[in-house]
Amino acid sequence: MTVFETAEAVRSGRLSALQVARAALDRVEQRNGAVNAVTRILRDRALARAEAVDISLSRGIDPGPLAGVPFAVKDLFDVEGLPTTAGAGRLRQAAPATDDAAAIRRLSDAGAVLVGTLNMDEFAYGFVTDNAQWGVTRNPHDLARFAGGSSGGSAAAVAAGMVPFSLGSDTNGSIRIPASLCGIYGTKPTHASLPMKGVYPFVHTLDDIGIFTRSAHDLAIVDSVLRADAGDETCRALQRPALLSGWFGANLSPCMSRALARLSSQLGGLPLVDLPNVARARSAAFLITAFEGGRQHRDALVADALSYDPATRDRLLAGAAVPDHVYAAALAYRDVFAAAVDAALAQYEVLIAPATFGPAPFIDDPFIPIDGSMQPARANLGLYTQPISFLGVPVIAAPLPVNGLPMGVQLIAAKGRDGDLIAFAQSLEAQGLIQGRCAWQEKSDDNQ
Amino acid sequence: MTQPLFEKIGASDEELAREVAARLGADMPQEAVRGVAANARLLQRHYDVLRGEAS
Repeated sequence: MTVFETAEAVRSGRLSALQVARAALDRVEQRNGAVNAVTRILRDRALARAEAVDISLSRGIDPGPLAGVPFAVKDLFDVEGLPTTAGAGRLRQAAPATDDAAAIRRLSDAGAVLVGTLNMDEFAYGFVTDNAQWGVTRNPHDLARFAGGSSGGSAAAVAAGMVPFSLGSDTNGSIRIPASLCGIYGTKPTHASLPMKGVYPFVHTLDDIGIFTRSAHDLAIVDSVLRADAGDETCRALQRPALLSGWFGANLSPCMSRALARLSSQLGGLPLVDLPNVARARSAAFLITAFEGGRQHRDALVADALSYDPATRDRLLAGAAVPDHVYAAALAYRDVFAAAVDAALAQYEVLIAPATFGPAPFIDDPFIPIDGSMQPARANLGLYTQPISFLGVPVIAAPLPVNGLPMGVQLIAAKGRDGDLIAFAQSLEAQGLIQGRCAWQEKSDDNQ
Repeated sequence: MTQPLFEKIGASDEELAREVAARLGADMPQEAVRGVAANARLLQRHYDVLRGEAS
């Protein structure tokens, strides 16, 4: 069931929150062995919260728009009573959080029920969710392939139907890439527009939390709760979409090229926009990430570098040595590139771009083709997301209705237009131009 | 040519990793030498692109 269907069923009394929570916990137990999305199952907490929702209903109190809806969060959100690991073995024994992250509190206050925490690349530095401590998260649509990352557990849990929504974080594409590879929706909101209190930091100028769902309608519901705006009735679907070309049309798999051409045709033939110097923008984002991530971890690396996942450690060590003037140059270029994107968004309200080059890479062959050579997927799946994310504009990763493995597009709007962008996604969804997928539903259909 | 991020960018992995370690004021674990050098070179390439001196 979707977020909307679950909340309606609980609020109307057709299902109790306790029934819904038990069913979600059962699905996690049944499916997580194959996918490895969930790192900690919060059974006692979930059942207690669900019971509280049912008690509220029995007293005639509306628990809120997410009444009894199960959800899970990436391992970098504070959960009261648990260490916040950020996917790092070195933090497994950290002091437990004394409170829930602000986002979890808002969702819980609206009736949602937290059932688990989710796997990620260590300290969110990667695009594949291959974790030295908790293992690799597998794509529910093809277990031999990556789910994407760094919020891979968050995407896989929703795509596998364990929970109807989850939270992740996106710095350079860490929500948009796994959402795309797992066939669901994911948001990177306008920078700093959603509550970050209680979220383990990676790159403070780029980090945002965001939502994974299987429908655009569900995005609207959860986004509204996180913004505490009680449902913004003034949202209007954005108009005048255009398709990004140039950098965003290169290195694509044939199936992604075909899917983009089909979407363009279905939208009446999208005008093309070729942003200038995208390669420089991506490199600027790469250097900002290396610098800030390295500084964030510098003291801990100096004290105990070997306690890190080697794949993360070596990137952070090199980044920690990047000089200040390089960081300043990268930030300065961001302003130049932002002006070009602002100009495009003044002419077109939505820019559409691929989220990834194509479908998920194989776990046993973790490389993707870029400019004629094979490059590591862990560092390079963000080819199309990194140049966009460091601008701070809202982006939705939206799943394309393809027959084969999932792929998605980025829907990009001007800052502050998050609600209107979600409304645009809803209009595309209503036309059948984008569509979320649940892998387990497809598997059970295949078996009939 | 762009000023290199690291003086030892063209040197061996060991020398490059030693330079990174010196900037951090720490020893470089032997296990990290190869990976740190590879990442330092990757950052150099991105800096070259940022400066408009590579594609």
